Amino acid sequence: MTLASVAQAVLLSLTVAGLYAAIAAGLTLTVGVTRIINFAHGEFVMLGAFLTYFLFNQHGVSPWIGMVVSGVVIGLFSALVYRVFLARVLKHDEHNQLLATLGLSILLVNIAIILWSPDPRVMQAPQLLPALQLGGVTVPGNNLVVAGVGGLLFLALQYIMRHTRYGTQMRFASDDAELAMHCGINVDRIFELSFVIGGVAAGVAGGLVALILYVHPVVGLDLVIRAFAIITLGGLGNIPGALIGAAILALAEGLTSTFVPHGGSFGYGIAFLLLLLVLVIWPNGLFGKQAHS
Amino acid sequence: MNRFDVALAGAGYGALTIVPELSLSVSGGEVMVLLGSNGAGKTTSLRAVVGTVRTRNRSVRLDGEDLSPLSAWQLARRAIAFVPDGARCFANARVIDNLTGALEALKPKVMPAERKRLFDRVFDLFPILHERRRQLAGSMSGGQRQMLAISRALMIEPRVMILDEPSAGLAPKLVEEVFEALGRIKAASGCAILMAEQNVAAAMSIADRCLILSEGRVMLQGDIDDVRNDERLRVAYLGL
Ligand SMILES: Nc1ncnc2c1ncn2[C@@H]1O[C@H](COP(=O)(O)OP(=O)(O)O)[C@@H](O)[C@H]1O
Ligand SMILES: [Mg+2]
Repeated sequence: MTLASVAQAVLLSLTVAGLYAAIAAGLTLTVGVTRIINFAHGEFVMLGAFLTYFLFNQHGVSPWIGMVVSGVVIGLFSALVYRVFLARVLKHDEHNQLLATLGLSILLVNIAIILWSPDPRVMQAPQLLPALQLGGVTVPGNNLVVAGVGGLLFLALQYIMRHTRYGTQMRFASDDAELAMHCGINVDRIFELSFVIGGVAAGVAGGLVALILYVHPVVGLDLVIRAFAIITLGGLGNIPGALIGAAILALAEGLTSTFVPHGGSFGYGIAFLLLLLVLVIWPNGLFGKQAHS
Repeated sequence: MNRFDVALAGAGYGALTIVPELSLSVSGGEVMVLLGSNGAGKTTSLRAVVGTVRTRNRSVRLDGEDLSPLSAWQLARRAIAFVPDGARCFANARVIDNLTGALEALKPKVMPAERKRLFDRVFDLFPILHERRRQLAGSMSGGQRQMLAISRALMIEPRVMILDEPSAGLAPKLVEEVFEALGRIKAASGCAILMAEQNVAAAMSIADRCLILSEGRVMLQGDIDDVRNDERLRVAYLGL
């Protein structure tokens, strides 16, 4: 274990953290506002990855554009899912939403398997940015893209929540939906908006997935479990918490797979281990302040 | 102006009817208080008025305009403010953000002068809120949260204000303060106030008319002075 190899592993992990942060920040926003545990968030990411992949491989569309298109398409798709599906389920019984999103997740995975086969694919996109050379350490250009775009997405979500009127309404609806309604806020629309914002983030993140990971129907499953671990770490609804949680998880995974023999196969296990540890030691997340109610 | 007319039938939960029939009218500058013991159906009635409790029949009019088809959030947009029981606030937002958010939810492009006027008014009514403006609403005492809840309603410049037991859980000193402020709102704002209360003395201090509920039924509706002057009524319904 040399200093350079540690530095390399840390830097690569931090770029992966950008991807995790983008996925988890969208999820924590949606769950924090609507309390809908959206298992299908991972499949939104998966669909965005396939879209970016096909746009590039079959039509030569640059992944830069591909991820924007994915964001828009998945955003619209999540609006559809919310309107025709979740809003109705919520109206009847909010406990059913868990089953509803789990069912949707399974359905989307199976449709993807039927349409595109379960085989993993590689996009083989060119490097969108030049590689970063730091001493003996190299970070490939596409990893820089992932870190950069992930970071930007995160900042955008944070900005929307903190500095826009809709952000205030989302925070109000999250605090007390009924009270928000009595302030003249159309809570149903605000729920839908937060769901769509999460969907856009998931779609763009899908484009990032296509850049650095295999694209396959269950890629979202891996990622959404990690995202749930991250938002548990960061505290539900806490967007900055999601960034820090993403960095912690990505580093833990990256270092394990680089320096522990056969550690590559632990990736997933690390997420669960972290999740369990946090739940036992800090049930409100690392930064979870006790919510006032 | 700001005449608020309500008629309800069959308000309740699921198959259970709590308030079979109730109708009332409040005019601007007037306070109507719903009195009744715990479980009498005050909250059910008020929630039925704003449409969050189901009714078989419901008619809500403001200055003759039929608002019955509107849902609760739309009523707020028509300047009908509802302050639920329990001094509820957006606990994780600061006092100032509670007020700003309520204002901007209705008027996103409010002029600075207008904004200042509205803030001055609530800070003048409740100076403590100005002192605490940067504090998280959830960290304040019940009395301060009730003041914030009333102030939040005032930010939309209500034509009708509906309050559910604003005195509940407050120390006597704070009840006095809150009702003194409600009295000033009544005198100055021209809005119609409909309020549920169990604190008869506090309610009587500002009410013009009252409606007494017992087990969901309207026992009496009339001028507060009629009740005040009629010992039989006072003893029978108010235990005074
Ligand atoms: N969500 C509910 N479901 C069923 N019954 C309810 C519900 N809320 C209140 N009740 C019943 O309705 C009656 C009136 O309650 P409420 O309107 O809260 O009275 P008050 O506000 O006068 O104390 C009570 O008997 C209460 O048990
Ligand atoms: Mg009550």
